[in-house]
Amino acid sequence: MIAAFHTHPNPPLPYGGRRHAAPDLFAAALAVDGLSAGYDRRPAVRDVSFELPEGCLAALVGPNGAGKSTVLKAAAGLLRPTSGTVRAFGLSPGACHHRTAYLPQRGDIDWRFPVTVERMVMGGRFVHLGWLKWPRRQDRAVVGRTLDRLGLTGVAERPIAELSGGQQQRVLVARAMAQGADLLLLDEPFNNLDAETRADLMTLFAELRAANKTLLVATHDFDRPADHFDFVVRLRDGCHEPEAVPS
Amino acid sequence: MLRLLWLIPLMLVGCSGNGAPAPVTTAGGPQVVATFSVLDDFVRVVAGDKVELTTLVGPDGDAHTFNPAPQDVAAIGRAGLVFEVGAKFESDWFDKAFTASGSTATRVAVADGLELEEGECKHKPGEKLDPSHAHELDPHVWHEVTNAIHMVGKVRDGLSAVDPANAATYTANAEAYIAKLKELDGWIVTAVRAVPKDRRKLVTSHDTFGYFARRYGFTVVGSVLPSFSTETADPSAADFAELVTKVKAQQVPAIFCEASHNAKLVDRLAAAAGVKVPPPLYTDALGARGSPGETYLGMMRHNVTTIVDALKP
Amino acid sequence: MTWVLEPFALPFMQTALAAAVLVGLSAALLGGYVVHRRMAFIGDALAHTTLPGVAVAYLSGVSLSVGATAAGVFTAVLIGWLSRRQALREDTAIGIVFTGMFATGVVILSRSGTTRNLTDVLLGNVLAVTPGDLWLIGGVTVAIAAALLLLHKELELASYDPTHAAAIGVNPDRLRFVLLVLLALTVVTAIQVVGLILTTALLVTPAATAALVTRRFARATAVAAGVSVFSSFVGLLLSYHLRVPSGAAIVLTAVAAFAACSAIVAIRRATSAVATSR
Repeated sequence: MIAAFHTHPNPPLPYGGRRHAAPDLFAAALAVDGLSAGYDRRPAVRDVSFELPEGCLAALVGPNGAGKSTVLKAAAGLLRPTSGTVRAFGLSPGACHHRTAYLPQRGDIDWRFPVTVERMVMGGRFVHLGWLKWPRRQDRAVVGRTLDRLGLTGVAERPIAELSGGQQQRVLVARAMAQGADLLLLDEPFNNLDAETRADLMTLFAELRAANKTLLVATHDFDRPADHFDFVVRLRDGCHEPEAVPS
Repeated sequence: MLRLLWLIPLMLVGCSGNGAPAPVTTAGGPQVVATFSVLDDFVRVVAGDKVELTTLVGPDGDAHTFNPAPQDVAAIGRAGLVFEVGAKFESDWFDKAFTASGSTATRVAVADGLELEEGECKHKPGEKLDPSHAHELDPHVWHEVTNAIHMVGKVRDGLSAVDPANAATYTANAEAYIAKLKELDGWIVTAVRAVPKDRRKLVTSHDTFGYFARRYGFTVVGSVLPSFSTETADPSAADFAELVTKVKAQQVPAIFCEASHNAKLVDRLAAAAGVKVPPPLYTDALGARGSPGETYLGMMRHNVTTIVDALKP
Repeated sequence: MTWVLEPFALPFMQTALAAAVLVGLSAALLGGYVVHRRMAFIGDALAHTTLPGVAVAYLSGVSLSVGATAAGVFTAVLIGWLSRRQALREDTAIGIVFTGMFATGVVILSRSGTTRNLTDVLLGNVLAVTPGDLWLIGGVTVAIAAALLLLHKELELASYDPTHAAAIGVNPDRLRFVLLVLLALTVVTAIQVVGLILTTALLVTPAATAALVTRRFARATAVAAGVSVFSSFVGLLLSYHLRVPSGAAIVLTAVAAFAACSAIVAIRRATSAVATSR
């Protein structure tokens, strides 16, 4: 069943290809400083601070309810912080939000809606198109290349309802890549996936890191996340527990 | 094609119609439309087979709440002459259908020229009255046989105007029928003498016997639907209770249901007041083929016999 | 062939056909969203809430369509507001609102002393559609087609992934408002043709038929429109020749089309299964 239908940006973010501000070249990919945020005025996270450089595969870990989704949503601009700041590439979320991609939990998406894989990945190009514009040839080319890179060309014309969990996750990643995002915020991508699929995904994430992307992955599926990730942000009850140093 | 096959049985099962089968048409001559079965009878008697007659509301149909089908509207469009009662008997559906059909027919309202009964003043005390405000009129004129004679006259005149070649036939047929109607009127006057004055009380499904009461010395105590039209909402609990009290207080011997209307509320009223319900009367339509109410003459005789048998001591 | 063409030579039948086709198109265009966003219940509710609008309009001498539209749009906005961020459990809130409004309409209409309007609203009366009404109906169809054409990619995205939509700056709640208002407009026009009780059928059945045939949203909309136009035409034709109520005839045709398509799909599936198993 679809949950959380209605988190919406507050304030509203601009939509369309003409408002991209120039990124700060020396800024961290993601800089969170003293972030407190929550829903209905109850803070789900309090005073969280961390920084992620470019080309980094980071984990956001903690038990359920620890506030992982909240941090990701604040980073994506879906949630306004009650205090503290969030900066993506030196800009506030939304100023240049085509560089940030928030990948929702798979359960938040209605996979039974009749769209094809290609159409869903094309959704990543919308932020460059804005209202009233139809996808152009170059958009289709970008999507085609992306599907190819992720080995999804075979299922490009299939409805998303026919995808396995692992394929669904790859499609979400493909969409983020079609968008041209450099910062990917993934909410529980490993949920309900078997070990082999998880390993495949981790390989994919490592490839993205090698391409200088920054990934922040919310997960509770790893016993020793420091073994697999460059950086670990551990949350408990909304507070940040200092953890391993970047290796 | 497969789709049509699926459809037909479903539709026949779900078909609600208007309680009336398809209108019967006789062949040849000018195209005439009659709104309901009593007029159908009159036109047939006067015109015989000289006209092509289509009747909209058939036997046992309710002309107050009729919903014309597309074919009905088409028939109106083709007609050169239409007979209606007027006085809002056909509510507004006939006016709308006539306009929609684009018909150029002559409209003859057979109730024109009759002295029509006005309904109760429904205005509240103190409410400002528009000086030209009109009260509702009772359209059920045919229950008074002298009115029926007038209606037959209008039919004859209408037909003669449109088809002068056969005017002689129409006049002759009308004469013969009017003679029968006069005989019927005399018979009714005699028959009702069997019911003493204090028992001549009528309660029906809706207010339809005003003219009958006026001519033949009856009183209309009330009706379940307090309106000349069946198109009105059901009575409120308070109104219903008031009617029960009235029936009991005035010792009404029997109350009557109508063939063209649902008898449920009449039965409930009868049960509550402890009176019987005789067989249905034909009020707003003739009966089906083979029934006693098949013709106007049959209908009136059946009604009077039923009423007299039920009310006499 | 005359059996098919003869009824439509009559002007009032042409008006009825135009109304039925335009309404069917509006309903089919929105039908995909109604079916896949599971808004059939809301569509039914909106239809019910037009009754008080009609009642008040009738008693004040204002056009019934205006009254119905006002009531429908008001309810659409109310539903949109009540169910934003799932503030209230959606179907409960809607259930309370629409039944309350319908009952209010019945009470108000009872003061008019006639049941004719209630019957027309409940069961439709396509023969009573005037050329003036036709302009309004046509206007609604054009508005819906334009809105869906202009907003289709954002509407689609907000339907299956509202979080991503929000993340790129497309507000899913606002789009939902737009959809609800368009639905209210469609419902008001559909009531004139098939009546309040059967409006949901026009919204859902052609779209459901299309879903059997194709898995692409845009193509499904086109198929739904085709089924709808076919149902309007054949339904009116059959209602003429068989003397049955037109609204019901149109709906039954649409249902028959759905049944036929289901049967064909099932047979194809069975025969291809047999073929591959050989």
